[in-house]
Amino acid sequence: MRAAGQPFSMRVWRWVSTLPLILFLWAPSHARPHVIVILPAEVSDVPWDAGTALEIRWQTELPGDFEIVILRNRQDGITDTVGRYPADVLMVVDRGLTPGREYTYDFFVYDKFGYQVSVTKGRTAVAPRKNWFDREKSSELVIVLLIFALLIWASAHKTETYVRPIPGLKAMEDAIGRAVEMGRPVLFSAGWGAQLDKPTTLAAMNIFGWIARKSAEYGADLRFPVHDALIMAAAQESAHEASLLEGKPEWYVPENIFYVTGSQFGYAAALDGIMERERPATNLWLGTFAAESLILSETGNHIGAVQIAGTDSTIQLAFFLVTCDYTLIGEEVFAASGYLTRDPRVLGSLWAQDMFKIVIALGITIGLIGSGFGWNEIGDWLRQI
Amino acid sequence: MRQQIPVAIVATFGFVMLIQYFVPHPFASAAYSKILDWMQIIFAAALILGGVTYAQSHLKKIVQRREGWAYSLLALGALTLMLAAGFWGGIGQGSLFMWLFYNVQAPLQQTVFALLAFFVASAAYRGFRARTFESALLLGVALIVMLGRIPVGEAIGPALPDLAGWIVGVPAVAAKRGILIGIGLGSVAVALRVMLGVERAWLGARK
Repeated sequence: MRAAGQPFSMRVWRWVSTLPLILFLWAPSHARPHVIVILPAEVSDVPWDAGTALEIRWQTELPGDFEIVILRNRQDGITDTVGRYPADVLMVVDRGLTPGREYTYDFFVYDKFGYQVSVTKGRTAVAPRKNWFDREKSSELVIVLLIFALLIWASAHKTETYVRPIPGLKAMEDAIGRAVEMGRPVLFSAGWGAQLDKPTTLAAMNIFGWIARKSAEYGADLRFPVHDALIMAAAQESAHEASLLEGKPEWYVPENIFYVTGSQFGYAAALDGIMERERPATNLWLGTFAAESLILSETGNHIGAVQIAGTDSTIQLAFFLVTCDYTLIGEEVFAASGYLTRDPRVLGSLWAQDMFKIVIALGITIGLIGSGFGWNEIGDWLRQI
Repeated sequence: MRQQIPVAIVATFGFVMLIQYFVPHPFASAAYSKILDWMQIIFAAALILGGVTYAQSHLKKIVQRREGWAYSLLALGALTLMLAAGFWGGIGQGSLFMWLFYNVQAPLQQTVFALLAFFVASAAYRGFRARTFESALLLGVALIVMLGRIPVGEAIGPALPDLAGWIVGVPAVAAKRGILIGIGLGSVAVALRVMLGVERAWLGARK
């Protein structure tokens, strides 16, 4: 007799295929092929973090096709799955935990057929601890402190630092004078990418403060269309102070520093319109620029304005270099205020910057020579720093 | 006091933001998030300030019948229309506000962006005129890079794309990194000078 719908060969195969499992379960433990045991797991706090992670380590010898499932138990009875891991994984970092809350971990071992073959319950509860210092950032902290210390020391002691002539900055006063002679405005922009929390914008505002004083001194009509009202407020204050310092309070016209729009190409279109209508004699593009850089500077070139640009954007530098008369490259924007005002403290800090550049160049050279001789440890160490 | 209070605020928040980078404690990240929230509030307030200033300056032009006052009328009309559309019809999909954005503002912005192609062409023409040795060198390198990046470069010779890739990946990157190191150090120096009150020009003061 045959069971309905099931051939005899299939029934035999079912019995044969389950035979290894029956043997495995009934065999004495010493005869089993592997010891399915998770040794008591070591759960420890991950050091130097926010107290949101625990490191779980365990030891076992499992066949490669076995899997371990780890469950996390909270004291309030809630259980979550940490993950499912292959047999050769012996360490996991459980992240996203609540600082101070205690956790235990259970291990479930599954064979290649998906049968659960072992359970190891965690007994010791461990809580992640909050830390006040990230030791992995020690080298960064040391470097920052060194830079700060040298900058402060140099600001006080290296006040006679020589700064090489920067043509763009030398030409700035002449460009303002030219605008006065021609009876046309001076147009300033810190770029659409400018934000008051960016060092480049702060550097640009420092230069603007000097330009405002020179414009007030010469009586130049200085215009500064902005895309950010915070920059507008800061620039208006700066221009107002400049007029007072020069003894020409009537020079300051708040409407000359005005908000245009926050839209990138709206801003570019507005400045293009101003250039075409008012024909400024001098354009000063100093700050953080994006795609609008070429639209602005090419229009400025078209109207015949003297253009001085400076930005920290390496992509936009290429556009400024081909369209402007003078371009401040990268760090020259940051050095500009020291160069223009000759403030000894600022000049001192420029000396410190140069010292750090020498140190970095030496590090790169040593790393390069080391790599050439196969001493990769030097390069690895420098990369770690 | 007008100088000292802003410098003290900048120094305090500057150093707090610096220190929190090294502190993993949740207190530091909470303080960081809170400061970012405050910044958002300041930006929102600044937007109102910008809108008011914008309206004031254009109104003044219209009232005084200054040159180009008609453009100011158009600008104020557009501002009023967008405000009215946003307040009355909302800013959801299908609203008048979004219709105006997609069908008026976006095409206008794209038009200005499209001008870039012509500006690039004219700027490149001026930049690549081989009048000096340096500009001739620039022209030569630019030609190699441009040809190496298009299919015809491969047809000219298989070495051309490799050479273009080497120019972009080695000497250009080396120069860029040199500039970036200077920018990084300059940024730190400016930030420190502002935090310590050495540079106050952004406040309007020279000394």
